[in-house]
Amino acid sequence: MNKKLFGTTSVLALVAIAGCGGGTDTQDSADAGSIVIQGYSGVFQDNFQKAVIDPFTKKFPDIKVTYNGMGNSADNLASLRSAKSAPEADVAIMDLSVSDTANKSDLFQPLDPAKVPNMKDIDKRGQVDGNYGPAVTFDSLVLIYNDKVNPAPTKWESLWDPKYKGRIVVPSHPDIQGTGLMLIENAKAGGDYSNSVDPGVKRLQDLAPSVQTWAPQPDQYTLVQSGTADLAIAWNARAQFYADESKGKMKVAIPDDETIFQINTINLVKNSPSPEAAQTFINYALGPESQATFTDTMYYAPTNTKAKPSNAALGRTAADPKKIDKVLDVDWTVVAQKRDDWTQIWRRQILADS
Amino acid sequence: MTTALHERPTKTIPPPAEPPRRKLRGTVLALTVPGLLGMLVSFVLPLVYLLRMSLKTGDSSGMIEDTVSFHSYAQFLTDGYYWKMAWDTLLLGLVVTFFAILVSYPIALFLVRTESRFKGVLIALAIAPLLTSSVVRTYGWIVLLGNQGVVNKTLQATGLTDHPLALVNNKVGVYISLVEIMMPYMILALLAGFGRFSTDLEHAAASLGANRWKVFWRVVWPLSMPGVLTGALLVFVLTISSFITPRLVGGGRVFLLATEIYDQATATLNWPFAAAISFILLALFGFVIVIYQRALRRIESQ
Repeated sequence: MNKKLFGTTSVLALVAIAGCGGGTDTQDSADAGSIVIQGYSGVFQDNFQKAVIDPFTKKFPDIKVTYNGMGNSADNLASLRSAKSAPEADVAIMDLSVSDTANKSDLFQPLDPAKVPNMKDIDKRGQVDGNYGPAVTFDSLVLIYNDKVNPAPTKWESLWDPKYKGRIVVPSHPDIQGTGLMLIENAKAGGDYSNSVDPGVKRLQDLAPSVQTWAPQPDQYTLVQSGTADLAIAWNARAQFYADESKGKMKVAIPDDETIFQINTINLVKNSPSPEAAQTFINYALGPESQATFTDTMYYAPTNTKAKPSNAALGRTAADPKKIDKVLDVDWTVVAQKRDDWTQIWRRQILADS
Repeated sequence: MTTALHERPTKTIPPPAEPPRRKLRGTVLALTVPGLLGMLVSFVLPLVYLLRMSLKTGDSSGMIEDTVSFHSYAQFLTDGYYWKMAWDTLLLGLVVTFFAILVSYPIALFLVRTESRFKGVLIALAIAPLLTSSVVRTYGWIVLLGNQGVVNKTLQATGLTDHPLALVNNKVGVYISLVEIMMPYMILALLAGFGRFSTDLEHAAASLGANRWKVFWRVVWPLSMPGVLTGALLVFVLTISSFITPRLVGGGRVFLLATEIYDQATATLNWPFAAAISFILLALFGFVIVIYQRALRRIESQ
């Protein structure tokens, strides 16, 4: 019996030792260590690697950076949530409406302003209370269309043109592209989203019969490029990037009327294994130099007010000085709280039987 | 599920000659320990975690409160919208199962009866779709059923319709692609079931004056019932728990229990609600298995 007990405890002890090992062997300081970043996969990852991580590792050769691609912000949050007791990631990049939930669930920790001095130069739209991770990219909602669409659309109104019935793609709420279109139409009709989104919902009900799909597969960029759909709402950065790749088959219109920003924040994971090196990286990613490079590479509008991207690239973002006044002020904390209610409204009043 | 399948009347098995000795029983128990441990870690514990999660409270911003309440269950059960969703899911399962039997039965019967020397190859071909992921096959259907797909182009070319029919991004597309995706499972189950009876019975029936239809209806069909029922259960369960195909082909318009669990878990971030729906779906499975067992017993007693 004693022998058995001994055997069991020694196995348990071995398991415990094995569980503790790994990860903690490298030391962490402001200019040495090893960090793991979790963010969007695909073209975002490719370009972020090229424009931010590669120059960073050149500047800080003793910090090893690993990028873990995630499908979307919710996947990212789910992965952080399940690893809460022993996080592997140090830095997470995700949408503000999701990072707000993560901040409140104690998954992220505030940054030290002394270690991330670039924080103070971030545009006021991208500041987050309590020194939590601020905005690292601004993106905006745009229209994409294929080369057969004539004349080129300049306003959201084109979506309601009966000519395009069955040829429209709108990713539905809770994808924030759908949310964004609702907020834009709501504001144009004089509504205030913190009270009611009825005017916006009414407009989308009118649009519903024209919509080919609310859940484009694999995404709206592919559908418009291949000619399966004519018009879609989309994110500017990816749209500009794919428009260049499609050699004129797909085009982007930044509408003349209101639009919304999509904000990605860069966050420090709570109990991150290497918080010092991680904050060095966050500071670099928020710096004017990497902000300008990322805008030049992938057309995300810079969040750092001191960043100087090329005029050509800036002109293809909603941060263009001529367009920035048209960006609606959206409080993503409020949007996050309304997410579920709005999902129910969309389901029952817009998507059902459309 | 497996226990359900094996809980058949055991009257044909003779009782053991002598009761098993203590030692033997101990060995048997010891031998099952690794399996039981595996089940505990990979099945029971996650289920307990899920049950605990379903009793927490989630709010719309994705925050989870550590409570013990039936809030999420109440939210589902008091809302007619979700009852309709459960009904739609059940209906999808039944209709897909029906059509899967309808199209798979002749193929399976042919495969069993054929005396071609390519029989093995033909059977392999019928089951080959299982080798590709259902995601790939679903994308195939998106292309085939699309406005410029081969189905719509053919209909328009033959003048049957003058504008493309909406066959994808809606329920119709989900039904069509699920039937095809479930066919190989159905064929496999039917093939296993057909192995049980010989053609002699049919010849006997024919010699007694039954026409071909009667032979099928009175002899072949009843004898193939076990295979049909196994296939039906398999396809039904796979259908009501499938979420990839409804998501990809549904165009964001088709809401089922499985897609709802996915949406609640990954988009709305309401994990407790997602967990509660999972248990409700589990209850639905249980209900179906009970009915299935009853049906099986009745057929075997005939």
